[in-house]
Amino acid sequence: MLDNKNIIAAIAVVLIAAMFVGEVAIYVKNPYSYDADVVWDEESLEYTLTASNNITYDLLVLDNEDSVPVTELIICSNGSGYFDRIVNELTIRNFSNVIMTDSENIADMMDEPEGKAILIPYGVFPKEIYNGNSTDPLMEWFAGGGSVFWFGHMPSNGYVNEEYLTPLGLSEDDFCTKENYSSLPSGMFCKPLSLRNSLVYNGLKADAGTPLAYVSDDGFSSITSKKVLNGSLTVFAGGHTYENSMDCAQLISAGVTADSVLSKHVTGEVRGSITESVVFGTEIIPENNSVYVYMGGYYIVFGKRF
Amino acid sequence: MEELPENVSAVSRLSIFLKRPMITILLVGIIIRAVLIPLLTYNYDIAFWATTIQHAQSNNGLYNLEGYFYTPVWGYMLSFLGLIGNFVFGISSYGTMADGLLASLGADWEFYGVMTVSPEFSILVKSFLSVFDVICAYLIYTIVKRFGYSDRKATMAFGLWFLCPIVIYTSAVHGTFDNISVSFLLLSFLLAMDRKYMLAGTSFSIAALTKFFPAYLAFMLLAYVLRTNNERNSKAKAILSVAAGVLITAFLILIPQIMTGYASEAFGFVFDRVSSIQNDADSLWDFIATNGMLIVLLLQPLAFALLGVMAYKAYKAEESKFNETFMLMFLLSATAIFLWTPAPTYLLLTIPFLIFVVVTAESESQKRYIIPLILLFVSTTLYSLTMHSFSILFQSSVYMELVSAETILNGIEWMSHIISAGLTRQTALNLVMGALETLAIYSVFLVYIINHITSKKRRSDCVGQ
Repeated sequence: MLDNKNIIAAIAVVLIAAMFVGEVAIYVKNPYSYDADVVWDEESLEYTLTASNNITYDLLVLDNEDSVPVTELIICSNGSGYFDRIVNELTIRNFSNVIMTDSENIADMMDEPEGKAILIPYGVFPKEIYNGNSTDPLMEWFAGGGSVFWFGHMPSNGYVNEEYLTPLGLSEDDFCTKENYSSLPSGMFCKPLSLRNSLVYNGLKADAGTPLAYVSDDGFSSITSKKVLNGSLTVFAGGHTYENSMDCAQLISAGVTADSVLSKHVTGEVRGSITESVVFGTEIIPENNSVYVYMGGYYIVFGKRF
Repeated sequence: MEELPENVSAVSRLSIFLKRPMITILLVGIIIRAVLIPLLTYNYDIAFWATTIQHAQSNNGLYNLEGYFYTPVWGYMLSFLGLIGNFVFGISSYGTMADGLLASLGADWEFYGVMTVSPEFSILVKSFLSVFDVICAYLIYTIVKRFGYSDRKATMAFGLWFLCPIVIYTSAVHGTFDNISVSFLLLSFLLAMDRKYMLAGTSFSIAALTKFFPAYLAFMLLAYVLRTNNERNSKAKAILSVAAGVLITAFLILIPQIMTGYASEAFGFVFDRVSSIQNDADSLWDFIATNGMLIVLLLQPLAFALLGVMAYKAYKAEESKFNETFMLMFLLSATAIFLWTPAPTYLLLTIPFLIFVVVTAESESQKRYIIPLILLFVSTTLYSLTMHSFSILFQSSVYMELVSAETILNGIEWMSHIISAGLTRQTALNLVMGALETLAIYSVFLVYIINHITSKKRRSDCVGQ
């Protein structure tokens, strides 16, 4: 029988081993794997999902009408590590077409805006692309069908001119200027995309565009998408938060545009491999639709758009 | 343990075994936890543990994504736990947004997380932590026995830990990992007693890289190793073995962060709290917490001076009183780390030593330590309950509908009510409970000083006669 000294040593060895098994599972031999595939038929789509462990999944079919979902993202980084983490969030969702740049060089990259988006950090827009004039490069970007994802912040008086927001179809009154929180989910994407950001401080009024996530009692929205010319502007409230990094990656990866309509949402569980079908009942034009699959619910471990 | 005669039946043997006080204590402790674990959950922290496992699942390490702010050890433990949860129990969902409770985010207290973990995830994490409660209890029991005290006293120590309200609350309600750090610290001490120095160093390294505070007790471990080795060569060999254990383990733990450029993130727990001193305060409580961190920083020289003095006293203790003095100095050192008002769960590090001193007390003066023990048990639990308040009902509301969202929100609104000059009930209660906890911490030193004065007086009276 083990004596007490050996029991103590055995406890130590078992606990130390448990810790190192955990480390190895993260950094050396990760046992988790996930994948998805989608095949369109005339009136249905067939999807195949594989997962190493039991996990929930969501499948969304988006009808984008004539708008083009984002396929390339240009991040106007301010040097913060936050943007590297957004890139990692996007990578989980199999969105890898990302260009990292800064405010000085962004103007050079703003050609052929359709299907492209710019991610702008918390604060005013870079002066190199927008100064509040309808002829600024950013307005040309919108005119060409480009998208902008912006972490908000109402520009202070004195720092920018009074008409700064006018070309974007916004005014100072559209911004939430006090610490505030949402009370209700809103819009067709909040729950199906498992969006998390419920802060509304520095966000837009819900009726300034389309609220995508949560809204407060006094009508402010945590994530708002707004049509600007032929493009779209999505404003995140609350700044560079942990929740926003996930929501931002989720909206970009899913390919949500200002015109997107959720036409199907399927949920379930997968372990191993499953193949299921979604039947529409009418003929579908795949070019106008995008399919987004993700696994893990609010704790997303995999995503892919088709 | 006593041997039973061979003719005793298996049923009788089982009956005798089950009647052992330690088994009764174990069963009572497990039943209490089994009731609390599914019913009450403080979501704010545990929701981040789910995020950490999610990072591992998505092949993003511990720090590539937002959401994990501690040194790596707990992350590795969570990764191990994730393997069990995913591949053994098949947990498919970690949690959801508590939509009906979103309004709680507007409360004065900013740590009500609305990301509510699922009961199965909560049970997984809290059961794992409860295992560490058992391990800690057994280690405390062993320490008491090793110092030559009776099985009765050792069992009492086992029970005081396993049934301690803040210990139960930390694993079964809060779901946080301070007891893992305590387990490794106690293991390192016991392994040093067994002269398994390399393994002692490994355990100490893990303890310090789990929750940082055990690092302060390096002086005591050093004092013990030096004192229990007589020859200069054996002292050097022992210290080198401990140091090798500490350094090699730290290297193995931190190598992924060093290689991936996330070494500074691995110490975010320390740096973020220190840098928060420069932040603007949004509320009265924020102001108190921000300035509290400044106090913590300013008290560090005093804490280090006390730790040095206590380790020296332990090292120089009389041979006949070494065990008693050493454990008392260990208690004072584990208390000196927290000269400020720490989060209640941090004090789990102090409790084992206080329990030791109380159960092994033979003189009237030693028995006085029962007062700080009771004060710590009560104040830390009340302080936790005050801070977390109605949020510990979120999971019961979202997943089991045992409590209505309206009741919880009404409770939170009541706590957020301003009673005077910007002071909410929440802040007022936090201040009172925080003050009580601080009093409990300082009462350890108070008892020590009173004992010192009375023994000095007694000695001078004896000389006078």
